Amino acid sequence: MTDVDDVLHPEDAELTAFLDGELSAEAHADVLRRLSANPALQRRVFLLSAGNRPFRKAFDALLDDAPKQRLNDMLVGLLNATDPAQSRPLGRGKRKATAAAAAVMLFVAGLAAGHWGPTLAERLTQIVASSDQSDEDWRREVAEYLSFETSDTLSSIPDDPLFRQRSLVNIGDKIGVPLSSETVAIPGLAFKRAQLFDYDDKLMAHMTYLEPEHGPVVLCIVTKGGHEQAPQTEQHGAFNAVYWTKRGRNFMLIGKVPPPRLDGMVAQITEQLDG
Amino acid sequence: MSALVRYELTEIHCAKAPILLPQNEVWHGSSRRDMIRNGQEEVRAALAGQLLRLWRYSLVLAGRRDVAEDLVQATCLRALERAHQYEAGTRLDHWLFAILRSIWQNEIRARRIRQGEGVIDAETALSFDGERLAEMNVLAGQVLKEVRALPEAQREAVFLVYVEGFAYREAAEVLAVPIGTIMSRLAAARTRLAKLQVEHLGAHSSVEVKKQ
Repeated sequence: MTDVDDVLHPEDAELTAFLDGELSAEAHADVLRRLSANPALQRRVFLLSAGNRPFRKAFDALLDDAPKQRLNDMLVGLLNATDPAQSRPLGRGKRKATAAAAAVMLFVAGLAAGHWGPTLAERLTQIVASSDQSDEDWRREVAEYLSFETSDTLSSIPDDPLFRQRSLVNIGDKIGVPLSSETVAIPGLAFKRAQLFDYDDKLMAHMTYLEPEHGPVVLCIVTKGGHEQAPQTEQHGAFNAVYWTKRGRNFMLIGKVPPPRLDGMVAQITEQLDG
Repeated sequence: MSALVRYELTEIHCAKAPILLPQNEVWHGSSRRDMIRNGQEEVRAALAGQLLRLWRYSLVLAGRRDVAEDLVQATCLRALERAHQYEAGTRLDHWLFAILRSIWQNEIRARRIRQGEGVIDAETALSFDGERLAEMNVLAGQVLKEVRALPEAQREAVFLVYVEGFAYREAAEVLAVPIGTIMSRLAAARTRLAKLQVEHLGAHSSVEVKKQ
């Protein structure tokens, strides 16, 4: 064995702490005592010292390379999207609702302001807007966006039946699909929020649910037209998806729910929307 | 020209939702409220000053600039969501680093691996375009090159302790590992870097130095 190899000697961790000034005064003194009488230990200290570098100076150069403007704009968008008045600690419910609002409004602010580079939200909308070229891409990007949803965030959104109904009817009117609390209800899933994205002549309704065991589930409806297409399944990473086209609307239900159950949900939704 | 000309969200469910106070939560006096409010205000006010360090840490972890920016964004969002958990007057940078690291380890990195993208290629980590590298100090560029070749765990420990100046205990908290693990990783990193140094100096030189 040479002095310089990748195999750690028993004392190396302690000697590194010695060099870094991380030992207690007593332990430090003990190492000094041992060093004075142990040439092998002296060599290890020498070698470990040779592993030192001007790390901080080198990495400070990286800071000059940071996308300062984009980062600042991103933060400004986030801060603007979170209403300070709603951040006051009136109670856990209040805080959670505010946090959830921030999460949703992040999406909105990023889209509306175009403040920062190609975020997932922007890529999602860009892909949907250009979905004439690739049907699969927009579904993949929806899946990518979904991967950033967390159960924690969704579970903190309080339920408001009246507002939920009004939101769904409003969005349903815009996309020409009879959305309501009843028609989009899925047994075992808690409805959390509805969003509508408006881009040129296409609209995308984005309804998010929370399934207790498998986390977020999203139902997307896009008004991009296309031929009728029966439900088909596909997988995006850890997410299972079912997509279909009906009456000029593209649908997708996606989540980590197992495929057989997802199929059942799709059957139920299509029946409810047809009814 | 992009087809995107207008974005509009017509409904934000939770933004208008009534605020519900959990029945089992009781607030005692104003001190805790003040503490939480102060913590939230500090997070909002001081976040901007941490962006570049967060980005640099993200780059060390992710190795890709686009992923690094997404990671910073996700960290800021999570910090604002959980600002009430931050205790005013404590180390905000440590708190943010822990959030960033958690998101990377548990969400983004895990997702990349699930999607078959694998872990970061060390050769691409901390890389710059040629022009930018040429402008850098040669020694700094060499150090970055050596650090990027370290295994991820060692690279991260080196960054937190030797670049960011974290104490072993603080680095251990961010990485959620025992202090002994930090010591071992740093020792391993130093050993590897020492090997590079000795090779660079040449066998003859190293022998000469050893004899001193």
